[in-house]
Amino acid sequence: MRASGVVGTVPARHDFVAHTAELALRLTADTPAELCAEACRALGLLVMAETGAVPPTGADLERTILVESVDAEALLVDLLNELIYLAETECWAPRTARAVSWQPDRVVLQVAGARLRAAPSRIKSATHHGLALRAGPQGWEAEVIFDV
Amino acid sequence: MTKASRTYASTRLDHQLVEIPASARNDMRVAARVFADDYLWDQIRRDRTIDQLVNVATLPGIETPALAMPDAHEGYGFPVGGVAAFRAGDGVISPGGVGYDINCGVRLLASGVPMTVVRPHLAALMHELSRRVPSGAGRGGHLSLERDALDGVLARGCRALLDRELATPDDLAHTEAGGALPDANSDAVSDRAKHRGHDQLGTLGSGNHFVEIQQVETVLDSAAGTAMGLREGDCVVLVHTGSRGLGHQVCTDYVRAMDAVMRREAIHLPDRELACAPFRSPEGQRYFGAMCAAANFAFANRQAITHAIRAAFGAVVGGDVTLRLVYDVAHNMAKLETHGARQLVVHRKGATRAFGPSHPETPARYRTMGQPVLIPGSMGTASYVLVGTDEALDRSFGSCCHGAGRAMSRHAARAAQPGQAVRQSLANRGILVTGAGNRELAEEAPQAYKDVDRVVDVVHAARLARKVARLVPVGVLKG
Repeated sequence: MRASGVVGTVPARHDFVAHTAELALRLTADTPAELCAEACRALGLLVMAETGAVPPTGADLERTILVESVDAEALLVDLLNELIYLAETECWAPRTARAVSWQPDRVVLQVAGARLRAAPSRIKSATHHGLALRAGPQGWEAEVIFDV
Repeated sequence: MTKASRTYASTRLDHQLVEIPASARNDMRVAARVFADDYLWDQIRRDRTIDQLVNVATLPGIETPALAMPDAHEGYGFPVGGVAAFRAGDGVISPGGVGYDINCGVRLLASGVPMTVVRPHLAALMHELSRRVPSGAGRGGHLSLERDALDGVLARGCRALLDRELATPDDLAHTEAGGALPDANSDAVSDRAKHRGHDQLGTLGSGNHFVEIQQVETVLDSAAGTAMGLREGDCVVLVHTGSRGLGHQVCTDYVRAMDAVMRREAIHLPDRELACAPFRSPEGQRYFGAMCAAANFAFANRQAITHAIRAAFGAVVGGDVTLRLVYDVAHNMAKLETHGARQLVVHRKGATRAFGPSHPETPARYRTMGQPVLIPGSMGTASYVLVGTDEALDRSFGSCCHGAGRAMSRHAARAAQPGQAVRQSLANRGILVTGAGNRELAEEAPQAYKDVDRVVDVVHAARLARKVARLVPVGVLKG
């Protein structure tokens, strides 16, 4: 599966790549801030593929997501785990996301999301396994393994 | 395509065991060993299982050797099918070494009646099971717990369900650790974890979790089979699930917490998901208490599901069928165990405890044969019942494999066969599947897994456990 968000000079994008037992998400974006926004969109697509979303009756429910962590890699994992928690406990998942501010240990995003038809249960957590956030020829890149 | 492990120096010690010496990589503290025949060894090396096992062998306080079972495959941090024992005095405890589904495990119920009694009711029974045991996406089960009641389950596990008449003393006697780990600390479980889990007791979850109606195809050890109440042709029920969102959140919380501890303790790891803390440190003890509490939740979850299964059988098949618990085993857990003169924190991630007849924790009913070891296959293939051996204590810290083990990524499995074809193929063999969509069926198709017969042959030949019975599926409720 491949999808992209329209941000920056290089469109932010994500792929789900092969892993024997789990699910690996590869992210690319112009900046770490956009990478975090793309992570939101990817996670939203993942859970909506499992549960389906209630058709919107108006504007999507928008919320500000603030996550703090020890460094940029952990920040990405913690952000994804925050979204997994919200999906499971509030049946809500991101549809669009915009980074308001980003520092290596703090990110603020404005996220508009959909109400899910049911609480997802497939994704247990985002892990730190093999995690690296790095600047590559295509922009900023990261790969996150989900426990499923 | 999944990436393969690096090539390490290795020596085949016998037909079932390969050793990677501690010299194979300069940061290894101990050797690593893989229980596998030539075929499975080749299969295991196709992904990063061996890299992950070698990483585990670098952790502080590890006792030799780091182990992988024949069903091992790539996970995150530790490989799935990994066993690692750390000295309680100077070793570590690692949330990633237990996994997110704390005390994911299996339990087997014996009906004492032939499948011919159940088969005419199969469709109605599967429908009733799917009604009473929530599975897949969807919030909550039939037991929503207030905070005090949830804390009671975290502290007392299955004993808390005894009070609610959802369990019997016989159930507790045949659950690992009596279904209640005494070191549980519900105060160490976060509000978030409790919020995720408060209405999930009695639910299956997703992925490879299931309730299967099975038939005892062959009894290979008649004395052990008789003790377990397993007769050829009989109907049995196998349950596979864990601690649900509560356990996932406990692991998430403590991997994060351990990250800070490692900086303080100057522990440097080859993979951040191996995050750990000295077992005797405040953080190590706090995680251990939270993990035990989540494990108690998982024991209680399987017990609540057992109560629902009994009710479904009573409603559909009739009141004469008594589903007796044969045994309940964990396969994602860290336990403080005595091995000879050593106190060890044995991490089993996708591995089953397999204590032999002489071990004091083996239940009285099985004292002459060893603890039951339950090895589910994938839906459509066989499952096995074995018993642990005393030799397993020396060879594998009293551990055995936990299943067939994945051989194919979910993506590759979906590409190999559509879910509808999987469903039809199972139906053609008389196996009724409910509760799963086509995507989940494709991902969990039998060919996505290793050959369970071969995996079990290895642990039997390696004397980690001894075969008792082979079971085949008849009805599958998938998570």
